[in-house]
Amino acid sequence: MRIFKEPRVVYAHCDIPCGIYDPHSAQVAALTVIRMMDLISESGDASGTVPTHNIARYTEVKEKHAELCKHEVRIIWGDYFKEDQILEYPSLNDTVREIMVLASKSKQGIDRSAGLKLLEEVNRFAEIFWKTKGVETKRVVPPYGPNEEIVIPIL
Amino acid sequence: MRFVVSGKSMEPKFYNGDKLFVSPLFFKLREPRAGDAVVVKDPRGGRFVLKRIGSIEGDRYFVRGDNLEWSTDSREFGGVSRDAIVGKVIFRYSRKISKLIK
Repeated sequence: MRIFKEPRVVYAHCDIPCGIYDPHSAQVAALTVIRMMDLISESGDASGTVPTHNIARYTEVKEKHAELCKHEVRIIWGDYFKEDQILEYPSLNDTVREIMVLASKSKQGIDRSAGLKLLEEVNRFAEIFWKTKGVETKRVVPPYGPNEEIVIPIL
Repeated sequence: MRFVVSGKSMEPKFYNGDKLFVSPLFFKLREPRAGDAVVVKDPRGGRFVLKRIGSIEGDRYFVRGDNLEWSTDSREFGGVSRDAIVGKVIFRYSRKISKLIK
C-alpha cells in the first residue's frame, strides 16, 4: 500500500541559477582566514591606535570569511550533492562537518594550524566535488599570501 | 497523495523537505482558483511541480512559485491545462525542526 511508501517528490524549484556550483569560493575564503591569522600574528602585541585598528579589521575579515567558507560549503553540500553521491563518497559528510567545526575554531582564535586544517578539509571537499563531475584535479600553490596549497580542476 | 518538497521556490510557505498531503479529489468539488497551491505535472516532462495558481485564462492555468526569483513556472513553460493539475495541497504533515530555528 502506498501509505507505507516514501512520498513522491514534488519540485518547487528553479532551473535557472541552479547548476553553477564551484568550491573555489570556499577555498579562497579558507586562504583568507589563514592570511588574516598571519597578519594578526605579525602585528604582535603592538598597542596604539593604528595597530589596534588594523587588528580589528583583520579579525573582522577573518570572521566573515570563516562564515563565508561554511556558507559556500553548505550550499554545495545541500543543493548540489545528491543522495547517491553521498553514498558513493562516504567521507563527504564527515568532511563537511569537520569544515563547520574548524571554521568556527578559526573564528575563535588565531591558531594557524586550525586554519591549515580548515583549508585541507575544504580541499578534500573540492576533490570529491570535482570527482563527481569526472574532472581530474591537481594541487597548486597560488602566488599570493598565505602561499598554501589549493586543489584546482584540470579543465 | 503524499509528496515531499524539493527546492525553495515556494518558501516561506513550503520548504525543501516539507511533506505534503495533496488531494486530487478536491478539484472534483470545485474548480481550481487563483491562489490555490497545487501540484502540477510539468508540461515539459513527467515530474511533478509545486506551484500556486496565479491566473486562469480560458482553459489555461498559469502557475508560479511564491518565490519568483527562484522559480521556474508558467513564465517559462506557459499555462497548463486543467488535466495537468494533479491536486490541491491540503496540509503539510511534516517539517524538520531545523527549518523553524534558522
